[in-house]
Amino acid sequence: MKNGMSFLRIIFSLLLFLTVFTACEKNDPIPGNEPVVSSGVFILNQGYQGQNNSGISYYYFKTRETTFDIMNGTLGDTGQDMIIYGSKLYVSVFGSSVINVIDLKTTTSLKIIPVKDGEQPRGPRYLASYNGKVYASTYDGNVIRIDTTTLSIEAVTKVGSYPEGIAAAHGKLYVANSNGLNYPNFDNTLSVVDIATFTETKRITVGLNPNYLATDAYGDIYLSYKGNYGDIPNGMQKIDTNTDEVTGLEGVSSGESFTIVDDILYYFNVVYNFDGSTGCTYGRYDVKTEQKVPGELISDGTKINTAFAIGVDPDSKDVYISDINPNKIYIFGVDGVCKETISEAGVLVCKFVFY
Amino acid sequence: MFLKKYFCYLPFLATGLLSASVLPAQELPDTVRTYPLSGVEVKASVPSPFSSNAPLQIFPSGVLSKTGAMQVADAVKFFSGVQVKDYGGIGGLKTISIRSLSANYSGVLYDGVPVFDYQTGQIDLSRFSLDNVLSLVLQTGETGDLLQPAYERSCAGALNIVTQNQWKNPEKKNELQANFKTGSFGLVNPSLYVGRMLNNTFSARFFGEYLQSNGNYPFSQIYGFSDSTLRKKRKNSDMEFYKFESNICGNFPNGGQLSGKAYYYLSDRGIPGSVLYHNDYSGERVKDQTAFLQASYSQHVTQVVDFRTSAKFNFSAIDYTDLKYRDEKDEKFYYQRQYFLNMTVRYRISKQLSVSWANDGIYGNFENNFSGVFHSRINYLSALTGKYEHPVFILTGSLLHNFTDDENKAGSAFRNRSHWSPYLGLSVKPMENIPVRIRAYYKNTYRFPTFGDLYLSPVPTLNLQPENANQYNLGLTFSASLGECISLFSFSGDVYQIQVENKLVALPRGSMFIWSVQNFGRTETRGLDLNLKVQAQLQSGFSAELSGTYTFQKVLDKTDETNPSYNQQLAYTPRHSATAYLLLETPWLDVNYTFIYCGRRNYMGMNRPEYWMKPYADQGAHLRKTIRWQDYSLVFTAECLNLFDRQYEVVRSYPMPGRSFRLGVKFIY
Repeated sequence: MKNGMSFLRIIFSLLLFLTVFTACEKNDPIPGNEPVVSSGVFILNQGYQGQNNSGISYYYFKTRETTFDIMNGTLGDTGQDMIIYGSKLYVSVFGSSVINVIDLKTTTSLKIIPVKDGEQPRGPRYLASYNGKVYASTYDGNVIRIDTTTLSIEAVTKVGSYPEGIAAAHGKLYVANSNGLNYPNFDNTLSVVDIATFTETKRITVGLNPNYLATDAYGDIYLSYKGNYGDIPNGMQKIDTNTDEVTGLEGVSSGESFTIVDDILYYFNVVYNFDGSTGCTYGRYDVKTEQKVPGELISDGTKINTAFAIGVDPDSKDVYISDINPNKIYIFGVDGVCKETISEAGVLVCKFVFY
Repeated sequence: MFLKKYFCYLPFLATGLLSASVLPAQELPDTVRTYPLSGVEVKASVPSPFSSNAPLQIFPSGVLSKTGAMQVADAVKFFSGVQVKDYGGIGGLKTISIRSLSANYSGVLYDGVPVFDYQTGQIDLSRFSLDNVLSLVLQTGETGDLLQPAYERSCAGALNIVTQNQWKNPEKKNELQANFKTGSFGLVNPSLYVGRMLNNTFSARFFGEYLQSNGNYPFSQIYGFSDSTLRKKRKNSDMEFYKFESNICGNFPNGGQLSGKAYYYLSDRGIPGSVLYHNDYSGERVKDQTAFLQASYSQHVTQVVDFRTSAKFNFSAIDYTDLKYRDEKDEKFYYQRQYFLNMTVRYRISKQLSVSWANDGIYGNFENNFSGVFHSRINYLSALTGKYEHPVFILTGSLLHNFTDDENKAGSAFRNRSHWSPYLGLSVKPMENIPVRIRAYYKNTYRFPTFGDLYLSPVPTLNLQPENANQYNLGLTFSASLGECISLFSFSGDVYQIQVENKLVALPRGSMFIWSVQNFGRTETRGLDLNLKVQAQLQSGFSAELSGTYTFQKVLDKTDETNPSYNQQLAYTPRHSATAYLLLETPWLDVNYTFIYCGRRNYMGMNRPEYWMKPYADQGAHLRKTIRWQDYSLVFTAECLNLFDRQYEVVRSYPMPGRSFRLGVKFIY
């Protein structure tokens, strides 16, 4: 594990070396499409609420070893989302109400940004980056903007209640207003925030209890909504960010998080039975042709009880799915056969970031 | 609805009540063969710890007040085989778990009548102060008291908080106690007790108590996997409560015994929550009201038939506010009501053999002000028990029928479950001259999902199976007086094995705010409980009592071999734990020393260093000076809790207070 870590550091140093030579701007450079092959994956585990046991693991492809946890137990309470922007890893930690900015080279924390309103926590949820800035939805009904040079919150703007997913396209931020803690009165809107003025310009109606948002390569935003867990089902929708027109994804049912890699949207869904047992379904959707991709994501009959997150290696296209019952990560090859499982990445793995 | 459904049982209850009042009283000798225990005060209807065929631990009244414990939860920690899940501070939640079965298996009774919580199924012991408590009785398995309600048999173990008994001294018509305590973290705690013998039949007692504490104790929190710590202060942990109790006791000429109680409790407290890294803010508050009325009555009907009946009405309301986010004030109200009716009839077939039939009907409901839920549950418990007492052995067997049916106004409900739970216990005294008994029991316990398990998730998981636990116990007790100096030497040791099937486990449902309860767990427990008690009369005015317990528990997850937690110790279950106290009485001062040790345990159900919680030892000292003048006495107390300022957590991220002090003065007439 230690060897894996030092090798990882060498890779990071090389990468940083490259970045330093390309980065002299005020803000971090807008990441381009450098043909950098990932050497592993950062794995964010949420931990249980109130237990300060969220962490970040790194699974190194070459040695197939997992380092738990690169933060040595100090990340805090309930990690929620994690993105790479520039040379840094941004991690929103909901319970601790901070955004932890981690240097990719040293894998140490550069800054812990408190996300507070005076004494009171704002509760950062999901993260998005756009044009040199990092944005986070916060549970007190706002979106915050982080300056990536000073690593501090430079602006706050109001959106709907208990916002969840956030994504950016065409100079606009889209934020899912869930009103999730006011069950059963869920919201069904997205707030549209103009990035230039950083104010909400309108709300568009989507499926009930919107959850997760992501942008594809064509500037369309995809959305999953959870429904009311009862008679109103979950599902997915596409938002054309030029017209803000919303269309449903035919035959796709999922209210969970998803990932878009090379024009393919990978999703999963958890079905809850009356006896409390669960089962999972998976699918792929081509965002270019706007059609479901035929075939099975898992072909070898591997049974995952309660999937919690999905990630796809942009190079090998291996699919990573985390199960929370028990806590385990399954890695499937493109043939849908499970080739590896990881049990050392902590509880409630909620995000994969390949690097 | 309750009455309609169980109409068939009403005649039975009514007959019992009517026949009671007309028949003359009979003085019957207690058929339980007890070895004389000097110095141990045992409530008449409770069998002695020595002869009981299941472990029975008692904190008698004399000792309870001397240990320095302020709350029931503090005293319960000194029982073996028991874990108190303590979230820290006076207002922090404290639940009892007997032999690592969850708090849902551990019944709590207040003067023999059950205390209910239909939402969580767990009773918070922090609301029971010790000021008016006479004794605490903890039974594991069944004790052989045939007049118990069936509810007590439906629990794996039960804690009985005894606050009153029949008036002891008819010469003294009035009793008065005024108590005042103060101490660290702004503690102010006055209480008043007034008792009066009204006439030859009735006595009445009133008890009122107020407590206030800001609870903002300092603590050190471990930061990450290293040994570095953060020094912080608990916030939003203030607590205030009022408690009033009125009791009436009747001792009728026909031998009937009545006890009635009206209880009201009102508290307002901050919920400090777990201490999160980087975020000290806590905006949760709870106002909590509980009121209940209860009565029990027991009487001999004929020389061979007697009965006990009890009834209770309980109402509780919780006003919960969360001011976590500036613009999102969250206020919710929760209400619960329970109605309980019990009737137990005992018939002594012969001098050796007696049988009893206990029937309990419980109706409870739960509602809130925000989602229109209204859940109700009818629980009917019926237990047939037989007991055969021979000079050499006591054999007890019972069969309990447990029936539950829910209704849910907003949707479907958990319907019609019933289960038969058997119990078999044997206690043998192999040699007449040696005060040793060997005991063994088998007990099955069925634990229904609570309203919280079933309905609080947006999608009720209504096909949940109840949990099923099988306990096997083998033990030995020894109790004797070893001469004049050692007035009591008692020892007991029990080994046990428990299997739990269909364990209810909650998992987050795509988000940490929505949980779903599933039915997949299986655990296996192997344990050992040891108890030792020595009472010594050293010379006139000098006496000592030493009590020690040791508990070993191996509680393994047996759910799924592919699960990383398979064969690993259950979370929050120490392998080794031990307690001790030493009471020394001298003509000038009484001194008490207490010791609680808890070995290493994990908080995630996985035995990995990052999930370990460090062992701790919490020691305390208690000094007491009594000044007597005629019928009056003044008792001064000074206490130091957590003498060596150990920083520890019982529940992950809920730090316990370090060293603190308490002073008290009590006037007794």
